[in-house]
Amino acid sequence: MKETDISNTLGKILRAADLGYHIVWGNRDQPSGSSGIYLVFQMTRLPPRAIGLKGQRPQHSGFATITVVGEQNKFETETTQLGDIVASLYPSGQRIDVPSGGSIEISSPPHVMSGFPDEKNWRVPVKVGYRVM
Amino acid sequence: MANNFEAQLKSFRDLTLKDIRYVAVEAIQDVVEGAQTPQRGITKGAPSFVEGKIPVAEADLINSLTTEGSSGEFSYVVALAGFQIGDTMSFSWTAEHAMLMELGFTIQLKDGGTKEIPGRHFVGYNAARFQEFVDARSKEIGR
Repeated sequence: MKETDISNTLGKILRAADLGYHIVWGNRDQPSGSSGIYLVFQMTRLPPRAIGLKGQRPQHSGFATITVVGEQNKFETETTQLGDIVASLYPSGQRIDVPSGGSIEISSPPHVMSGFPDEKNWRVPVKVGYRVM
Repeated sequence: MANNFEAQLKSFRDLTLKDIRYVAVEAIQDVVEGAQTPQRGITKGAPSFVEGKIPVAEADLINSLTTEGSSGEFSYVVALAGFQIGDTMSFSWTAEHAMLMELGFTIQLKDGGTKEIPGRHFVGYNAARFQEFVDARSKEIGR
């Protein structure tokens, strides 16, 4: 399975949920002038592992980080609730078929991490682990 | 005879514990060493970055590693030397911008827009490889 198939498959779940917030995809910036809550999608790929019998395809795994970005100095309830909704899109153990063949499994319960501030915003990352089956 | 058998069992148990400790210490060290592998920071002229390595601009992030209360780039080495099976050990990067570098952040541009800086995941990337490191170290001792 190609890495693009993996990132497209996981990204499509977020897009299809149509949560009503702008999504910043990898290598794309938040458009100038926009404000309010938005989501940032980032893939982190681990080195493919050769496991099992010789000749078997190497196993791909990694995690997606979907960060809810909101304004500072507001109650964190809204961003954390949105983090919970994002996490619920990727239930642990779910297998998602990929059109080009094979499937991706959500390998662990998504983790809604504690929020933290950057220079401008309040950020709540949600980590979603996966492995290719 | 019984004492000899008990001694053999004890020897086998000790060897097993020694092996388990070896795998644990080496695999934990693999995670932390991975996280502490430096890459030149973008602000220092690096044209790009890879995930899983720590960005180094002024070295305050890499030097902020704190292991069991002791800080420094290589603080994990001494701590792991005293590691015993059953111990709990914590590693933390205490620099103010550690979380931003790990998970990403937004910067304000001069034109009023913003730019998303992706996380380097120098901790998460290597922690997620823990099982891979355990498997590799286990192979070294033939188990």
